[in-house]
Amino acid sequence: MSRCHELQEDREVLELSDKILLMGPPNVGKSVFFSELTNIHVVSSNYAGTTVSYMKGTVTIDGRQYNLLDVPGTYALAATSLAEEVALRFLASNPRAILFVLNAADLEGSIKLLLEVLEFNIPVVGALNLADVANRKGMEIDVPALSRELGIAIVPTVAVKRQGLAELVQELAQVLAGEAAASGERSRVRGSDVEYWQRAKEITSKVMRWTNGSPSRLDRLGDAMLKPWPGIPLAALVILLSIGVVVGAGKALRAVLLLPLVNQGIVPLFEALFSRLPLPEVVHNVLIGEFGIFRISFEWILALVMPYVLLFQLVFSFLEDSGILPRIAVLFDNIMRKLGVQGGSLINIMLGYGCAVPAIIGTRTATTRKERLIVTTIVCFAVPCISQTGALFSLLAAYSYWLVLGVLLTGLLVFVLVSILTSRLLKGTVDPLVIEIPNLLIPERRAYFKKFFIRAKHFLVDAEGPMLMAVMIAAILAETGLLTGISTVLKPLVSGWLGLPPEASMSLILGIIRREMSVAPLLALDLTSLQVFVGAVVSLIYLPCMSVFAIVAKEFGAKVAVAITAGTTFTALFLGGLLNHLIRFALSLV
Amino acid sequence: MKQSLYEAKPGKEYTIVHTPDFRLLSSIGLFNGAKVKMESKYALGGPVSVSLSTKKIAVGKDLATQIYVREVR
Repeated sequence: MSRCHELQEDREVLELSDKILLMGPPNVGKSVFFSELTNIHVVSSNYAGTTVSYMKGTVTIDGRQYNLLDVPGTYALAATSLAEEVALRFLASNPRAILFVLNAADLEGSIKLLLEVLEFNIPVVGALNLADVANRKGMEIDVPALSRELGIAIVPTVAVKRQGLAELVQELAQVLAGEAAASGERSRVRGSDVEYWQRAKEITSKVMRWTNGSPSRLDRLGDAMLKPWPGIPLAALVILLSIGVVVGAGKALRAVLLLPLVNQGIVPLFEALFSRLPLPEVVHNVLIGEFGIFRISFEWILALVMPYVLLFQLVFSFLEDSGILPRIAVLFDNIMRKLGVQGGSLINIMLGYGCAVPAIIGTRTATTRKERLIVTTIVCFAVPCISQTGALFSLLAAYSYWLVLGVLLTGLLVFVLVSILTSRLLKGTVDPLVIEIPNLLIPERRAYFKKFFIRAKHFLVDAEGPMLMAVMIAAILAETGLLTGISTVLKPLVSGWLGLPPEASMSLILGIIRREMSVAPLLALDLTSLQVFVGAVVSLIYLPCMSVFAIVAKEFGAKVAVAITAGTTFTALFLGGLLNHLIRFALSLV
Repeated sequence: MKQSLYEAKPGKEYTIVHTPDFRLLSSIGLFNGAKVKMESKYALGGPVSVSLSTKKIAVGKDLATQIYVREVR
């Protein structure tokens, strides 16, 4: 299903005229070139395979517009993975030129891929990126000699600092002015990988020499993080620190700034405004009653969701750009392998703690469908998105930190069970880990904040609609009396089985739209510790939100999406009720 | 002496003499004749990490046991 869809998207892109392909090995900063050259913003990260799909933007060279296509990074061009297939289709689509990005700190690997690209007889301009990292590691590259050996223009660049980009565009202009249309066909049958590697080694030995590089403190830290000791404690420290910053600072922001702003500033303002208007009571209540739109949209969205989402983006962008994530993937590969997947999946799962949608799209980098499905199921069942985590934390921490820990452990248990079960039940295989470990980097400030703002903007654009929809439904249900009717119908389930007050049925309804919206209504209810715990567990496992349903259906087909949704709903309600009755029973014995 | 990459000793250098049929290995740089330096091995069925001339790669246990290497003296 997803293949067909991708091919369709492809066709439009492939038929564009005046294409320039942006190519290079994974994790060389192609996405940075793309966003700097086109002003269309792409999010890039410091690990292989951020561009799992591709992006299109326009770039003006010599007064003429060209379409720049960001082609997924690959190590070879042999059509053995989804990414390589996409790259080959682009090469065969009559592009005018290729902008090839080389990694100066891994010249050999870059030249290897470039040699394959050159066989397609399309004019190429090379950008020798990450020259600063290469220097630091003691590599000295003779650029004119490299250019002679390869027969193409090479421009040294540091893309995150915009260095060398103007020269690069000049070289592209020259190539575009001089060339007739390119054939785009391979000049010969593809050689073996070994052949390309040997030629790449020869060229590298001619143009690069090692000087006395002084490995920086960062390089030594990068190496240390890779060793089991002190790597594992360091990784644990990084993860705890990240959680601490997001949850701690989020809580502080909420308590000190946002709650007072909402409760003493914004809401009273609207109360005053609406009380002056001659409105029917129902309308007034829908607007500003206990569950009124102008009250809960600020209480829930601004004060509950926003602080955690923004802080998560801030922290996660840092983890991505620094190159810490692949190191965590390596350190925890042993555990993940026992759960039936591999360490590399952990990067997508961690992405899912932000939002499930990019995590599920990110599984395209996985080499087998089985792995994609397992990771997607784990993310849908057991990984709360950051909006939901924030809401859950606000709900639980008000009672006791033990409850936070309890829900956390329940989540981990479901994670482990889902992973073991799906890896046993699904047909197919999961390939072992093979991952390139990038250099540890301190994210460059400009690129880092740019990425943060793009992500924050995306969140606001994508999530605002569904959140406001949930708020409006909540207001109408609660303030018109509809909720009472629904609660009566759902009472056996909500009260009888789950042990929650009947009004908690609102959670089950809003949870269909967005995950955190199943938590928010619980904040307003007067619940016991047990009820809070059960409510939190149900909401954690309950339906993935509408956007997640849509992306699962797009990537795997409607059947899988329905199966996952039915599975999570049933598990959530079953486990919630079971916990409710078990704990009640245990308490009655004491 | 031929041994699997999984049994290789950290800090020593090896030449790869046999790789299983797994395409990503050769395209990422692990092919017959390639020289690697063993970096670390992770406990409890974890991967091994090796360095090539200019990059580091981690390989899961299930593959590392199928890659054979000879020590460079």
